[in-house]
Amino acid sequence: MKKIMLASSTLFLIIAVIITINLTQKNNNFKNGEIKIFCWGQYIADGTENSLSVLDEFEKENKVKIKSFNTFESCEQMYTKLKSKNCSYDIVFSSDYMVKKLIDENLIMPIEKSSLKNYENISDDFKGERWGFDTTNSYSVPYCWGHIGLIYNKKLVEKLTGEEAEKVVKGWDALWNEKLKQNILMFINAKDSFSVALKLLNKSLNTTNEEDILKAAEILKKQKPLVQAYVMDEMFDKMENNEAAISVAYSGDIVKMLKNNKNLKYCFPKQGSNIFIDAVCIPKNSKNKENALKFIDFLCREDIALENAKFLGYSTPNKKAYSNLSENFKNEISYPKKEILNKCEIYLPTPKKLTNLIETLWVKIRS
Amino acid sequence: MKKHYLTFTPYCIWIFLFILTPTFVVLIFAFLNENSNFTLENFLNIKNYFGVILKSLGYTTAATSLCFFLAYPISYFASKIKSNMFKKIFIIAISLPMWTNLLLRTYSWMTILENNGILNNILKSLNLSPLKIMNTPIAVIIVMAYDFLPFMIIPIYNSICKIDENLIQAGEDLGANNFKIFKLIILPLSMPGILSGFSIVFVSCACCFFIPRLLGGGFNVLIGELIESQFMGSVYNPWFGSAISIFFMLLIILIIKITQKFNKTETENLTI
Repeated sequence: MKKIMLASSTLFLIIAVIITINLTQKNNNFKNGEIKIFCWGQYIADGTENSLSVLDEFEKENKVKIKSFNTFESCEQMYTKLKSKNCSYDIVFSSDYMVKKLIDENLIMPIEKSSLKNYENISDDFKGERWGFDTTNSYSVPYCWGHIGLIYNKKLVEKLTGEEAEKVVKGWDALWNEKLKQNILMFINAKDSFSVALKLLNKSLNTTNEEDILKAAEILKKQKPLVQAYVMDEMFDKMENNEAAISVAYSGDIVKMLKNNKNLKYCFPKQGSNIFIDAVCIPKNSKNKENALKFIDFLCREDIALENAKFLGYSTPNKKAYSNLSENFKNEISYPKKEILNKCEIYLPTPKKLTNLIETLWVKIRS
Repeated sequence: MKKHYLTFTPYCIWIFLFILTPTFVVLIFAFLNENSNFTLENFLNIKNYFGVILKSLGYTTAATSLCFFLAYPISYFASKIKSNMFKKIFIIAISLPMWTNLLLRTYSWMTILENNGILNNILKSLNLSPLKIMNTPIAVIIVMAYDFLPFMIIPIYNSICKIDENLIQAGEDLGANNFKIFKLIILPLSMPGILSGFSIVFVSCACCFFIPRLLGGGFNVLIGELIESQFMGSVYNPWFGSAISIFFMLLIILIIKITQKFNKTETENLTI
């Protein structure tokens, strides 16, 4: 017993010494202070799948310690955390509509663009001013973007409808096609499903009219018997294995699916769609603004943006990174033409009452 | 006596840190609103989701019953095995699937039950008409019963194994037939195992959220998914999520207490 005790305590001692040595060494390297980051899970290239570990690279180059790197599952969760007084971050990632909400509630601070050397790499097409979530372009720097589109199985659609697939699938109405009954996949989340229904009704995604929402709910209810399943990531398996004929999907995911089944095709719905732009911001209570600016500048650098774009599979707003992308990534789905972009609309913050209405209606429709 | 305390302390610390404290935090959350003020609104809100709760209880009861009817015969016949080696093999065979990740097992059921899945391909090659099981409640119930089957089999198997052989022989000597022996001796004496199996499987089925989601095609919002969406989804309402959790917890405790009452004579020593 004594021997075991002795052996284990020696082992502990050795480990402790190694850790302290490591820590002190690292601390010497980080002479430029620290930074705290709040980000979506799996949203920055982390060294897996042959990517570069962007965070490690940043630490090394700038001698800034990433003191904490916390992740969230939804913008709403991030918002609630940011609002509570006892948390402070230096960098926060946010979707378009949430950027606007954060600006409106005075939770983020303006970013001095003059101190960002690489800001010129960012295309004007994706800045807040163009889409209205950051009207002065001063609070946010775009990080990545994408849109919602349709993916369909050409062979299956033709088999089921007896018509040419390109004629059947032109817009959102294809998701209501009786002939495709039990072969349609829809999103499981309320917001995106309602946006499809609203676009089909030719309404704005950001309607504040309760009647529009109720009408959308009605057609979603009508669609239910036609739907095979409401999905998120299960979509990949189902579409690639010819299990379903048509589905709504995010552009980045569509590109991934098309690679694995040559019958799959993409369609931009004629009624228009939703474009989402995710951006980087600096919270008001940031204590390391200097380092936050350094980090944003780092993300805008072409090689880093390229790494992140490759890792995410979504589109990059970085012009230089785009021109360096391999042909694999540079396709019409990820980078659609201007006319298509003009048909897209972003989400804007919705009043709490409407969000709750949509969520309750959605649970009722599905169950 | 002093020794006793010492061995008990780690468990007490464990229970306090990882069971009581989190439950207490959830309880506090349930009575707060966004601005950290006291409110009862979360609990009043639950009535909007009554359908979801009833449905969850229905599915869970069906799955637990199916699980029981599969598990009892298996445990019964397994307990009759005389050879020690085969007994070991049986235990390993039962617990083997548990070594694989639960999510992975659920995913493999998807490939079996899909419309173009393994099952329907076999049926097709036998010239039988394909079954439409995927994305229906049946798929959810089958997979729930499958996933938690070991948790039903092992307690029942243990309790049947513990039954004194002499009791059965005494029954035979007094002229009881096999059915009577089963009804009057084996079933009542295996009741503790049945009950603990029931409560484990019932609670696990009621709370899992990915089985209904993956196999139910999103048509079957059960309580687990509802709670998950309050924490992870875009609604982000952990206060309401906590309130439903607490409500559902109380409901399950109530149900288990009631089933125990029904079997009071057999289970005087068993409490939860």
